[in-house]
Amino acid sequence: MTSRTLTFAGFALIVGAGVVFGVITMRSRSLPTLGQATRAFTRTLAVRLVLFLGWAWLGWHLFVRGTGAFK
Amino acid sequence: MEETITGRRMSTRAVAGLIGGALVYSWFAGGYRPFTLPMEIAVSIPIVVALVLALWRRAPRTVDATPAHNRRLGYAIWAGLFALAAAWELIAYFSLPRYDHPTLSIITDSIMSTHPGRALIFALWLALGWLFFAPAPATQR
Repeated sequence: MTSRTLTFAGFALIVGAGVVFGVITMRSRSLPTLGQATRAFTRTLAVRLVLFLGWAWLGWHLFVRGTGAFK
Repeated sequence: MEETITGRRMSTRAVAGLIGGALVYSWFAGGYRPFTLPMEIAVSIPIVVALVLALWRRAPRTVDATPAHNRRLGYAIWAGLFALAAAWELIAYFSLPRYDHPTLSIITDSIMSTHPGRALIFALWLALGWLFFAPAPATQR
């Protein structure tokens, strides 16, 4: 297995684990879903503002400034 | 788990309309070019909406029926998954050559080389914003 494949596999595994755990939380109803965990995390205005800055920067970086994707 | 006393749950039709609208919006936004006014406007509108939601969101009055142990366990697992993703990204970022160790930016670049790919990433960006800043739904679990 090459390093490139291993890197892709690692990302895929993490995303897959998130999807599986997300399904488990929605079905079991005894564990917090991602939405509930996020709401608990973003309870304070300061956290929401920090997240907002990061999220806005990400959108601007990806779509307005453009990366290699638009070549 | 979390029973909201106040607020109303969004109807299925409203949720479908919201998702459909976001997908259509993403498709059009994905067709614009960077460094252009249309793209700046297409990105600025969700940013302004998110800022308003982030500033005005009020914590719902809830009765949390989930055992504290389960709640902590769930939060820890979600946090662990995000920490794992961040660690994996950092390992890739500090490893060279880049071709052998692609970062998330490289992966999204290849996905965003087509119009549907850009629309998909735009929709995921909107979904992330909704996850962070949407008003808490009235749930009964």
